[in-house]
Amino acid sequence: MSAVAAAGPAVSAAPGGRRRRRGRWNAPLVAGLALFGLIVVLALCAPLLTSQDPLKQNLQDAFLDPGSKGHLLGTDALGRDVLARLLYGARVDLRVGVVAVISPLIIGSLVGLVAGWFGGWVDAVIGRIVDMVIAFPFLVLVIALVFAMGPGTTSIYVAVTLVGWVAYCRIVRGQVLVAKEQEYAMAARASGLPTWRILLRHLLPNVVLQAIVFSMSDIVLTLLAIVTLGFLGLGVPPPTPDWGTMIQEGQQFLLTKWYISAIPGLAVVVTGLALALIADGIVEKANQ
Amino acid sequence: MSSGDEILSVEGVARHFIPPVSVTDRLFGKKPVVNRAVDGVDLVLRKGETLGLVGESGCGKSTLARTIVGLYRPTAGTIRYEGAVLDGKRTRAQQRAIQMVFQDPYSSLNPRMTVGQMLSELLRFHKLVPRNRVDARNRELMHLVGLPESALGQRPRQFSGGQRQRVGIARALALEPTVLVADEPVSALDVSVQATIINLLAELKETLHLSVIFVSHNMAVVRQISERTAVMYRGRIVETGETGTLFDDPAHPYTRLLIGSVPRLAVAGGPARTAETTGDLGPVREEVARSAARDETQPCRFADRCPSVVAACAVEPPLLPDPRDPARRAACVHISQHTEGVIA
Amino acid sequence: MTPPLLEVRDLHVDIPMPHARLHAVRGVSLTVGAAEPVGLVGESGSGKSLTLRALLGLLPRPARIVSGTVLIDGEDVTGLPPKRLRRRLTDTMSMIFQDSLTALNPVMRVGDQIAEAPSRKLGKSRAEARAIAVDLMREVGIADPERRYELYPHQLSGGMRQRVCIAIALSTKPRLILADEPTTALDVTIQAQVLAVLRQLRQEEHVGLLLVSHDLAVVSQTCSRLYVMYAGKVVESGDLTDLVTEPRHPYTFSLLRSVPDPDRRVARLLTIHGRPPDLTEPVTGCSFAPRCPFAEHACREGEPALEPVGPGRHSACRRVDTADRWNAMVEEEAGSAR
Repeated sequence: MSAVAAAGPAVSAAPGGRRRRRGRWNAPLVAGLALFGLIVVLALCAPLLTSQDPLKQNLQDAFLDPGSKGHLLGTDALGRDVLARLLYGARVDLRVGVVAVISPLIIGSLVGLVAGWFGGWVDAVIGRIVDMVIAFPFLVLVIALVFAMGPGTTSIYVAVTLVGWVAYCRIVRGQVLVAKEQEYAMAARASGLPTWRILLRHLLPNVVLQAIVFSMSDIVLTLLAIVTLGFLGLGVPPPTPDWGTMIQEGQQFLLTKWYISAIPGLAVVVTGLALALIADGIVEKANQ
Repeated sequence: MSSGDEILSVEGVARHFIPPVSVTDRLFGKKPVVNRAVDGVDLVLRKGETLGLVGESGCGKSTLARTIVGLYRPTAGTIRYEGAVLDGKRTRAQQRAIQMVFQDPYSSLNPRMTVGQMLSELLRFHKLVPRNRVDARNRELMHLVGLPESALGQRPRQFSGGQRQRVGIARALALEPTVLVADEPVSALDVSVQATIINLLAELKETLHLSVIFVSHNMAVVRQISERTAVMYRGRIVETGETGTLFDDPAHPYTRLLIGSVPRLAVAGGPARTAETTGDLGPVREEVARSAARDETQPCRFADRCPSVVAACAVEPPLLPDPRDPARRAACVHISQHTEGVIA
Repeated sequence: MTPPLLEVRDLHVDIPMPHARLHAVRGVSLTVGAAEPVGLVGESGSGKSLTLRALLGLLPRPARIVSGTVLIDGEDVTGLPPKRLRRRLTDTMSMIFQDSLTALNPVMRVGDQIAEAPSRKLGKSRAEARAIAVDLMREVGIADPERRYELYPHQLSGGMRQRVCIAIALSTKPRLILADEPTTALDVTIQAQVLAVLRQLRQEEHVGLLLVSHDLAVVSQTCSRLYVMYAGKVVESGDLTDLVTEPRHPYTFSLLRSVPDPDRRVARLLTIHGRPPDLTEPVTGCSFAPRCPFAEHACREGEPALEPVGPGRHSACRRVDTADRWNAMVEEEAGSAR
C-alpha cells in the first residue's frame, strides 16, 4: 500500500500563488458594499445629520433653492426640508425594498428547487401557476393586490411576495435542471444520501447564486413599485416621507423646481448602482 | 452460469428513455420516439474480477453503468447483488455496496465543498465510523488514493484533473463498497495521467478485494485493466469473454471491427495493422435513424454494417456460447463455425 | 537544396492573464517539406494547438504572437503587409478542427460550404463550383455525394462532417493542411475511416500535413516525421520509426511506456508523476526535470537546448542515454518497489 501512497503527487503549489494574488475581495464588491453601506449609515444617522423635521411644513419657506441657509438641499412645495425627507425616506424605502425581496427569494428558490429536481407533474403544476402569475404585468398585479388589502407596508410585503416569487422560481428551476445532470449531483444520489439533503446541501449552494444576483436588481424594481404605488396613493401612507412620494410630489414643478424630483430620483439611481455593483462582485467572487 | 462466485448479475435489463411529449402533440396523436439506450443485457460480475465494458458513444454502456448503481430504474429485467434482487428502493447497505467513479473530474465534485466536508458527510450519514474517528478515516482515505492530508481542506478547483479523479475514487471508497463501477474514469485525463489512475484502480482492487466494472471506449485501457471484457453495441452485449482471447481472436464481427480500428503505433517495417474500414462501411449510424417501434423479430443490430451477413441474420441471435471456448459467448450466428481468426 | 514548404523559426506565443502572463509557446521551430506528413505531439497545455493556430492567425483571444518568423518556400512572409500576408498564408494552408459541428455553418448546405471557395476564390461558375464540390466529396469518401450535397451539418454523422471539413480544406487547393486533433471527437471505428482518408490524400494529392494530436498512435498512422512538445517547447524531433523505437528524450520515452497497448497487457504501466510546470513563472532548468525519472542535479540548472543527436534527430536532453538503459533503470526501480 505504501507504493500507492508514494505514487501520489503532492498538491501543487501553483494555484496557491494565484489565489493569494486574487484575495477574498474584488473591486466591484468592495465599491458596491461601501456605497450601499454609506447609504444605510446615512439613513440610520438621519437625526444626527440634520436637525430639521421631515414632516414640519413651513409655507413661507417653500421652494427654497439648494444651498439656502439651514436647508442644504432646499425645500419642497410645502416648505419641508428636502435633505431631511431624503434621509428619513431612505429608512422607509430601504427597509421595505430589502424586506420585500427576502421572502420571495426564499420561497421562490425552494419552489424552483423542488420543481426542477422532481420534474414530472410537480413541475407541470408549479409551471402552470408560474405562467399564470407571469401572464400579468408585475405592477398591475401588485397594485391590484395592494388595493384589495388596503394601503400600507404590510400589504406591500404580501403583494410583492405573492407576485415576486415566480421570478426566483424560474431562475432556480433552470439552474437545477442543469445542475442535476452534473455528475456531482449523480454522485450524491449514488452515495445514498436522502433527497432533502442533496437538495439543500449539494444543489442549493450551487444554484442560488443567480437568484441572489437577481434579487439585487429586484430591490430596485421593488423601490420603483413603491414609487408607483405612492403615486396612486396606495404606497407608504403620507405624510411619512419616501422617495417615491417625493418624486411624485415634485413632478408638477419639474420645469421650474426640477431638483425636488431629481434629488430623490438620483438617490434611487445611486442605490441601484450600489446594488448592481454588489451583484457583479458576487458573480466575480463565485467565479474565482 | 449461476456459480457461487458471482457478486452481481444483470438479467435481461433494459433502460428506455421516453422524451416528454407536449400536450398539443399528444392531442394530435404524436407518439414519443423511445430511445432504447439499454435493450436487454445479461451480464455477470464475479467476485474480485475487473470486467471491462466497452463500446462506442451511444451504445448504452454509461446508461447500463448508472442503472447498475441505481441512478436509473431499469425498464425491464432484474439486477441481483449477492443473490438478492435490487428493486426500485435499495436499502442503505445495498446502495453503499455498489459505488461509482464518474467520468468528468470537473463536474463530478461539488465545487462548493472541501474534500473533507464531502467525505465526512458520507461517513456520518452512513454511520461508518464513530464520530470521533471521522477525521482519522478521512486521512486514511487520502493515503489510500495517494493524496496528501492537506487535500482535505481544499476545494475541487484547487486540484489537477488527476487529483480530482483521486478524490472521486476516495469518495466512492468512503462507503466501503464491494463493487466499484468506474464510468470512463480516465478518458478526460491527459495520457501521462491516465496511467497513474489505471495503476491506482488496479492496486486498490487487489488491496480492498473489490470487484470492478470498468466502462470505457478505450480498448487499450480495457485490455490493460480487465480480466474479462464485454462488448456493447446499440444497447446490447454482443460478445463476452476472457480479455486476452477476446482481443486476440474476436468472435463477433463488431468486436473485430472495433479492435481492428484502434490505431497502433505504426512503425516502418512493422506489421501494417489498419482497420478493414476504408471507405464507407455501410450506412452511417445517424442516418440509419434507430427505428422506434421494433417488431418482435428484428434483424441482428450489426447486420447493416456487417461484412459477413447471411440470411440467418434476419433474426437477432442471443448470446451464444463458443463451442471451443465455454468462457466466451457472442451474439452472432457464425459463432458455431468460429475458428481462429476466420469466419466460415 | 530546395527550401522547405513551411518553416517556423523561434515562435513565441503569450496568453495575458489578469495578474500574470502565460508563456504558452516558448520558441518553437519546425519545418514541413512539400507533401510531407509531419506530426506534432503533446499533452494539453503543451502549446501544440497554439503553435498550429498561430500559423494561420487563428489564435483564440487573448493569446498573441510575441515573436517568430514564418517562411514559405524559403521566403520570409512575416514582413508582408497584413492583407498580403493573410492571402499568402491562406493560399498555402488550410485547417481542419477537432469539433466538426462548430467548424461548419449550421444554416448552410454542406455542399455549398465546399463550393464556396471554388466559386469565390477561384472564380468558377455556380455549376463548375458544384461539380468541384461533388468531386471533392467523393474524394474524401462520402458516398452518394449528389444527395448529401443538399444536407445540413446536423443531418450528418460526426465522421461524415469531418470528411466535409476535409473537403472544405481541400477546396482552396492548399499545399499544406493543418489538422488540430481531427479525430479526437470521433468514435474509434470512425476515427479509423477518417485517418484512412488523410492517408489516402497524402498519397494521391501530394498535400503536406501538419497533424496535431495527443495520441502518438494516431499520429503514427499518417505521419513520417514527429515533433514532441512539452511545456511550450519541442523536446524531441525526428523520424517516426527512430523516435518510437529509440526515443532520445525521457518524456517521449515515458509517454510511450505509459500508454497501454491494445495488443498486449503489461504488468504495470509506467507513470509520470506530478504535472507540467506553471508557465506563468519562468522555467529554470529542464522543464521536464521535476517529473523525470532519470533527472540528476545538473538537469535543474539552465534549460537544455534542442541539440542534434543523430541523423535528422534532435533532443533537448543533456543525458543522451539509450532507451535500453532507461528501460533497465525503470525495471530495476519497479523491482525494488515491489
